[in-house]
Amino acid sequence: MPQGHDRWSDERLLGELARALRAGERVPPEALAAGKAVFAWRAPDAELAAGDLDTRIYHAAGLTIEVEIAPDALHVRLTPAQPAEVEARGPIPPSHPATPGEKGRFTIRPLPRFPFYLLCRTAGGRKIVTGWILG
Amino acid sequence: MRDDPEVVDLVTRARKGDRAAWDEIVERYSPLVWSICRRFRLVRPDSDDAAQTVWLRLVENLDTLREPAALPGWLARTAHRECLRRAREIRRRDGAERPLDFEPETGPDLIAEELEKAERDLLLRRAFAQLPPRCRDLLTLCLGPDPVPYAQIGERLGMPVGGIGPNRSRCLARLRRILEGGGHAAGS
Repeated sequence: MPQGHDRWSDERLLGELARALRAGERVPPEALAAGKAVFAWRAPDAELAAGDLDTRIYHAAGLTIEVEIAPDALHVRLTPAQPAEVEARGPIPPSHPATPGEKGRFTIRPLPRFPFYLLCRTAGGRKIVTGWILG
Repeated sequence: MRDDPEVVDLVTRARKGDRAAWDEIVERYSPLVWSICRRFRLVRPDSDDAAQTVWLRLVENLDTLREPAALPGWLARTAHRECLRRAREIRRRDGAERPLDFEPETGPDLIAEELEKAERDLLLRRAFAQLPPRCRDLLTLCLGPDPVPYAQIGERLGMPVGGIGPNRSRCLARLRRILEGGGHAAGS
């Protein structure tokens, strides 16, 4: 804030205050609520697999998660193939468990609503999450 | 704001799973994110999606943010990137009818400008919230956009018309003291 010689006049201060309060009110309440809600989907004890939004391939130590989005389903492939529990997590509904297939493949049907992220629990007890998949 | 110890505290608490701290972060910086979305001429629901993506990115990066004190800058850069991405998507979707009439190169300027404005606005809003309710009511009526005549202010607040001017000055002086004593003011 300007001080000393640069101190704002009463009128200027009122004007700046009006602008600041308007800027605060401009955010729609629903947008604020949506921003707050994303915290609930946090999995703080999980490892984050580094990923690429475009290729949808995520890498964690010793594990690669490939995600393929089909119109009716989500296909996930773990390399190396291994037994695991895979689920997509998002706001509504909170969890979509995957059905395991052969050779590290998993399917979630129907396609979960965006945005969601994948949580993999390996047989060795590791918890790995991908970044948000936005659609 | 960029060196605000309160920001570090909020990030530290949110990392530990403190919901109230997260809510406070969203409350504080949503106007910054929203304002950047407006610079890209994003309207709802596109602006909602872009803002939501910024918060998703923060949840995702909360534990790995290298400098919690630099959170506002990180949010501004992320908002800039997500809004630009969304604006380009819209352009592709709607064709040349809604061209991008700004240069992505202006990114650093836009971010610095929005950060400075958000910093000032946040200090003002927080100082205003610390005023006694009577001061807040009086100043709200004085704020406009159409100034309320003193006679009406007096009636609404049960205050003699002759007392409004001096009370307004006292409330503004109080606001200045909070701003200057806040510890974050520049040049103090």
